[in-house]
Amino acid sequence: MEIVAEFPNWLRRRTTPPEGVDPELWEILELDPSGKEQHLMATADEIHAAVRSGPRPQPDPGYRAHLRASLMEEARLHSPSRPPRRRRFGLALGTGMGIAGLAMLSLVLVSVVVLPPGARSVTVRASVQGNPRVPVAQAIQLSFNLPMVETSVVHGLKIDPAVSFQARWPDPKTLVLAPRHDLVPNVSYVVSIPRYAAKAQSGATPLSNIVIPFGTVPTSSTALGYPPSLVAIDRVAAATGAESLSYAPDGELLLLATGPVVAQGTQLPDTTGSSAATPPVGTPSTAGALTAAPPGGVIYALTSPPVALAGNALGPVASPDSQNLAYWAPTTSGTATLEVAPIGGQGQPLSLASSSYPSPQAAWINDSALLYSSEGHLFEVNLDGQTLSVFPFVKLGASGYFSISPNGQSLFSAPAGVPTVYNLSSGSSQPVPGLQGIPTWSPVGDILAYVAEQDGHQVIDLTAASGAQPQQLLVAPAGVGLSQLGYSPGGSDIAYVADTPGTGSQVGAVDVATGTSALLSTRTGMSQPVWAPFGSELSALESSPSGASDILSMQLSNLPQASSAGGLAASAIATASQLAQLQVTAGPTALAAIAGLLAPNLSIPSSQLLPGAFDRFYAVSSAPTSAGSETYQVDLELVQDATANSPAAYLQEQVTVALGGASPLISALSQGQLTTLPSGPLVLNATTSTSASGATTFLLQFDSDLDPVTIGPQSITLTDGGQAVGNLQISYQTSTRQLTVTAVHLPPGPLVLTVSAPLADVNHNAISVPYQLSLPAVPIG
Amino acid sequence: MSLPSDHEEALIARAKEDPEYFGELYDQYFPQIYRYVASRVRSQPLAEDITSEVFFKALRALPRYQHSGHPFSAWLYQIAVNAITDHYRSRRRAEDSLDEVPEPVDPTPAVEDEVARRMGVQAIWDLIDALPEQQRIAMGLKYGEDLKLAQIGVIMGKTEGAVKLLIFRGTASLRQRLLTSRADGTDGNRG
Repeated sequence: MEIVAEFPNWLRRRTTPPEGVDPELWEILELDPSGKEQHLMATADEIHAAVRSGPRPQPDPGYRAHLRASLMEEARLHSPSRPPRRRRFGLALGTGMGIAGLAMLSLVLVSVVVLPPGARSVTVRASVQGNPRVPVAQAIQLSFNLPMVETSVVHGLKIDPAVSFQARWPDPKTLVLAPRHDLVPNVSYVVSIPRYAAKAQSGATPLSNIVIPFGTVPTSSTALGYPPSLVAIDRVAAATGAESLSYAPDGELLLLATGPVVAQGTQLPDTTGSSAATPPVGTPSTAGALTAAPPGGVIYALTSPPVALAGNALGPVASPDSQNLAYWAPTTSGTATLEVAPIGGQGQPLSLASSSYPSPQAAWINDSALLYSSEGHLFEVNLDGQTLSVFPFVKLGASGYFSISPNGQSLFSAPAGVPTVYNLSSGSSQPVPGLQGIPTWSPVGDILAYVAEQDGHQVIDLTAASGAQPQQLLVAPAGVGLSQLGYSPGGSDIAYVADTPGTGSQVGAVDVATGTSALLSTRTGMSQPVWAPFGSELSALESSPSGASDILSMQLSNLPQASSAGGLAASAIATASQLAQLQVTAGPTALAAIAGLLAPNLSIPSSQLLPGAFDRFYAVSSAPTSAGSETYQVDLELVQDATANSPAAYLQEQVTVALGGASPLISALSQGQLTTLPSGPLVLNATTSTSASGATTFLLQFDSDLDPVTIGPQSITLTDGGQAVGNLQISYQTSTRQLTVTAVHLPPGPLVLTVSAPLADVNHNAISVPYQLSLPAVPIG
Repeated sequence: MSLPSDHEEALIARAKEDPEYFGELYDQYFPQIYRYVASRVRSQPLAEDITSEVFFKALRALPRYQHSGHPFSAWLYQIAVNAITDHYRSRRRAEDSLDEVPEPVDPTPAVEDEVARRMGVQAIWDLIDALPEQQRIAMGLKYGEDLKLAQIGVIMGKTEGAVKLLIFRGTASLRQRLLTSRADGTDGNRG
């Protein structure tokens, strides 16, 4: 019925439309000269006007060309008649190319990507990029190479773990992110912007998603973690003349010994003399026989039964794929030969290079090339024996010792006795004053941990490979010596040997997050702690007065797994069963508390952590309930991101977690009210003044750039004794973000200035909570 | 706005053989497709994303395109309408409201006038957005793009008569809502 009533009679009657009127619209809407049709045409005019004058954003100047180029690239790729016209680069990746070429290769790879003609891709530099020790109260500045589409960038930008931040654009190429709260100490953060959102005004985008990792400084006053504790200890083997322990990447424990080795009560055969007397590689040694020490030593894989891999060896190091073992064979002339033998397979060792040092250093670059030291320089050699000098700017000390970072970007050596970190990309170097002994690189290679001395105490300091100021992690009691540091594969702990007068040397571990430290065992005479690649096992030598040593493996708890992808921070992935158990005992909200407490050590997908209404969380603080207690109080904020229908909100939660048992136990949990986060511009400061003529001026300082369109009587009102004051003079200074409101000749009543929506910042975020400033009435007389 | 039919047909045939000729079609139709998309989503980044999607879809589907006598632009509009509809179905529409439009501000008019003008325009846009989807699409193509009813019919897969009815009912409905909002004093023009 309704359709009939409204049905137009364009079929009934046709008239000639006025000039400029769409004849089809006229036909649809025109009915008769005096009725409904006139209103509809008027409405049509209004719609036309609105549609024409309404918002119709123009594309970025370069967008049209950028899209065309992208379409043509796609068209060429799928063209049936033409082959793809991709640029081809002939990269001579010879077998001799190793780490020396990596930096150059990475530069070349950037240019390999096919770009649309005339288009530059977006690149960004970040003030915190890769810095593992960013102060917790620091803003983050992103510097783009092109003017950006600001709303697109900010809309897509994410910081993980979640941080509530204010974004500012001092200019279209610079974005400053000011966190609303301090960052959490010793947490790895990642700023990410999806490729599609990182859009330049020209239409250009980055070649891939933007990912900016950084970490925050550890703060010893905030206990976020705890060192591992010993679960079990096993005697793996015993040896005389045990020189060193190491793990192959596949978890095989390797021992270099100059004397007999006994494994699980079984003595291994003795071997003596030069490498010619080396037992057959890969052949299990005869149980119960003695192994006499060669000038170097014999390298054993401590399997059951142990296998002698090579003799007359020094400095064994397994290849990344655990297929080969490199070691130095000392010669009678005081030099050494670099040899490589297969682990667990048949075959003679390969002699690859010689070094002038009696006990030189070697490190695998990849599965087929090594870096080694000789005659004060670094050389690279591949398994074909091709050698080239690399990194000529690196200087070595008298021993030829060096230590390359796991990421291959930095190298430590001590030329002329001066501990120095070299940046292998730039060639720059930074001395590390105070460093004693041999340092250890973090698994990612961004931090160097070392022993130093301060005020008569030995300390463990951490310094960034970039040369930032060192951070003190641990102070040993007076008289206790520290040495033999070793970063855990997950990066959460550093093992060390503490030598206490009258007690002996013991193995301990310090939690990198907090600096909290504990000895792992009461056993003394310990040395050479080495972490298993899987991170939950630490092996060490325990010497006895007789000169023999036990090889002990300690199973540890509270340790994260190693990071598999080599990200900035090691993080443990809780197993499904652990999660399920925690869900049952603690509930999903409490899981967030646990994760917040263990932030650097535990990574659980937020979807499993948070109640459905919340999108993210962050730990505001975490501290033991009392000194030395294993019960922690964690203050969290569960964050609900803004949606189209609701502003961002947060809920404060306080959780008490007892860590002493096998798994964390939530003993108390309290929640606050869901609070709406103010959004839009914030007033940072307000001042008022009254002139001699009686004019009152309010000066408001905002934290962000205001949209001038939204400034006016519609958003700024002044009342005097409850009555609106007219004729306000309102001005806004964009350069200073200062809003000035002046009212003249006011009576002396109480004044209330209110700033409210639609006042908005340039990102169109309206002020969500009205700002009010009250002035009391001026006393008469 | 369209190429002569025979030229367009020849160009499409060439583009089917060698997609690089698609560039000429793109050059011809980019402005109106972008304008249409931008008028519907009113967000520059989003308009760019959807416009890109439209042309990439068209490029990929070109081998299957059958020239039916209607302008090639009708087909592009059809893809655009679907892309916009998909967008609104998958996202909350209000995310892309006028408040978020990064529209350059003309510094000339007084601040209050500019606000009033924008609020008035927004009121009409809000009313258009509140119309049923089919009415909204038909009105957008007619009022915004000045397309012929026949083309709109092709784009929407409807008869010309059905399109007429959609536009009529949409216009009538919008008129009624405008009258109501003005009577309530909720139209920004009166504020």
